[in-house]
Amino acid sequence: MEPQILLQTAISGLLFGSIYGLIAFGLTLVFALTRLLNFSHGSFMLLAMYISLVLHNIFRLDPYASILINVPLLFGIGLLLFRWLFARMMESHLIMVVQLTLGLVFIVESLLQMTFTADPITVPTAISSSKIYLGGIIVRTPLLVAFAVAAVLSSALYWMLHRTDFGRFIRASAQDPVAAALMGINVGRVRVLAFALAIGLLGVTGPLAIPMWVLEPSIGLELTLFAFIVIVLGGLGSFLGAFAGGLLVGVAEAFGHLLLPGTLAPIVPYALFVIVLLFKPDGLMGEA
Amino acid sequence: MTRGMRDLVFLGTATLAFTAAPVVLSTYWQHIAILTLLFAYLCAAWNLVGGYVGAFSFAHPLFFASGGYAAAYLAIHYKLSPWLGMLVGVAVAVPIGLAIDTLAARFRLPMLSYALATMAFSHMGLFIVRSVPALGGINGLYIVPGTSGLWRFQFETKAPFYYLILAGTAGLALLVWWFERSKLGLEARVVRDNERAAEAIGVNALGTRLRVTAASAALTAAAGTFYGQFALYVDPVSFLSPQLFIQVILFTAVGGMGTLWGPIVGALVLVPVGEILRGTVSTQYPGAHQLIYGIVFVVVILLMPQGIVGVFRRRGGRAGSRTGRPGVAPAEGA
Repeated sequence: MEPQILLQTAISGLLFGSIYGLIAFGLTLVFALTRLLNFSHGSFMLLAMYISLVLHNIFRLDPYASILINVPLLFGIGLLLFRWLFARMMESHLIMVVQLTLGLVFIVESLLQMTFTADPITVPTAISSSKIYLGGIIVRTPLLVAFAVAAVLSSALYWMLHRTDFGRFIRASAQDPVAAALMGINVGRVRVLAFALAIGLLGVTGPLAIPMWVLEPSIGLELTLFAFIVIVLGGLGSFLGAFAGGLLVGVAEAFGHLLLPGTLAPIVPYALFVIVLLFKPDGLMGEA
Repeated sequence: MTRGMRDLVFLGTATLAFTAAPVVLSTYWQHIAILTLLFAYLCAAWNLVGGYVGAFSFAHPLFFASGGYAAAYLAIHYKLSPWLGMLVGVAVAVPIGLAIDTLAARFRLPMLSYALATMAFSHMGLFIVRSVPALGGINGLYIVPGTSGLWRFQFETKAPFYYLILAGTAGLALLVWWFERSKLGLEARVVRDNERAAEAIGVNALGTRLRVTAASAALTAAAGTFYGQFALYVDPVSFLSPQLFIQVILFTAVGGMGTLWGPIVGALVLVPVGEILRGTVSTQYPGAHQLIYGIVFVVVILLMPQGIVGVFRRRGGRAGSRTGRPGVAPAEGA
């Protein structure tokens, strides 16, 4: 196997992995603060992608530009979602949260299916078909853009978590909500805002991922499951772990497709997940 | 009469009443009835692990597929009766279930990780099966209808399928009734509610889980054989993708986890509603029946966390002879 191909695969995997990492970051944010697993996370990312589709079809808006609309829209949805639904589930058992969020998945995906039918759709962007040549490696431009944005966003989010007051409130509330409240932090408000932020983040991740994906109403849950694997692999509750997990899964997936036949290839991230889980149940960087 | 006796009487009466169905229902409705009972069966089988032991397992697609594929493959290539194929399917499914649970216990996986791990195993199963040409690859296996008869598990009409699944579901309900009152059932619930306390009083948590998982896996595999023969078709997506069992789990939760009637009621209510909607509204608006499902799930979890059965229980004012609320264990962290 030429080193060229290996390098190409690894780079492609890392680029994809940055997107997974961004999705996982949002999930981790929600989980760390509320201990709630949002099975509908991926479905909202899918929603953002379909919104981009609509904006493209009606207003000829490039999906990248649609980010400006998607983010506030999804932020707002996140606010409402938390206030109406999730806030009540804070004390509930895992199974109930799973049921609630799976119900949400059904609702979102069926609404999408009713509006857009189940046919797979792709959305073109201005740069969808261009490629960039780096040395001997070919990289699709949209993938590179996605990586660049993901890297910048991740860094920004990480900076926010560690250098701003709001970030400190989030980490404090995640670490010990009672102590945080005693310190004067409005834990309830932090939760709402962070949850909305996590969903709003999907307003960026969705459009970024559009050039790489075929849209179908049913892929939301698959995306979520994949993201769960990433966060458990990286360590539940660890933001750094979410990124690392994303990159690792991305690379694993890329090599899977390189080494295995197409129908079997997707097994690699899952197998990796199970193996890591067995030997390090807290994930790679877990502190849960 | 005690509640237990009442349950039995009710079960017997209901079963008898249901036997009349094929006579009065059209073929279309018979099909729906068969699916309904199949879901009731699957929900009850899953409930053994999910509701009574409290292990949120997504591994059941593997058991279901074992039954379906084993019977189909052996029938096609070796002309073996699907009943024997069912035994083979069970023989495959049970070790898989035991292996997964043993691994989980050995490595002390918390509930969430267990759920995700079983989900990962199911997905891996899907990828593997669809990559094996002998098992039909992506397209699966078609069972060519041959001579009819009970031994061949093929029939000219739907009615025999209906009676089979009715007997199966009634039998399973009886089994669950016994299970609830048995030592194993008590041990299971204790393990569910507080595993450490259970161990402290001498209950072998792992042993209990393994025994219940084995039963659940075997029962689910049998259902897989049934479904394969009913549809005359086994394929990776129908049998191994999460779709089917997510519905099973949700129906069980809506009906009431960890109860005798919960899974059955959940399926009896939701499957026909779904199928009716799918036949009417969904033709104009594809996916509408899923929307209704989603709304129902959300509403039920917000208003009736104990499920439909829980509502009746509270109204009836039963003083707890049960150990607390079914299906709700103190959160022990993920």
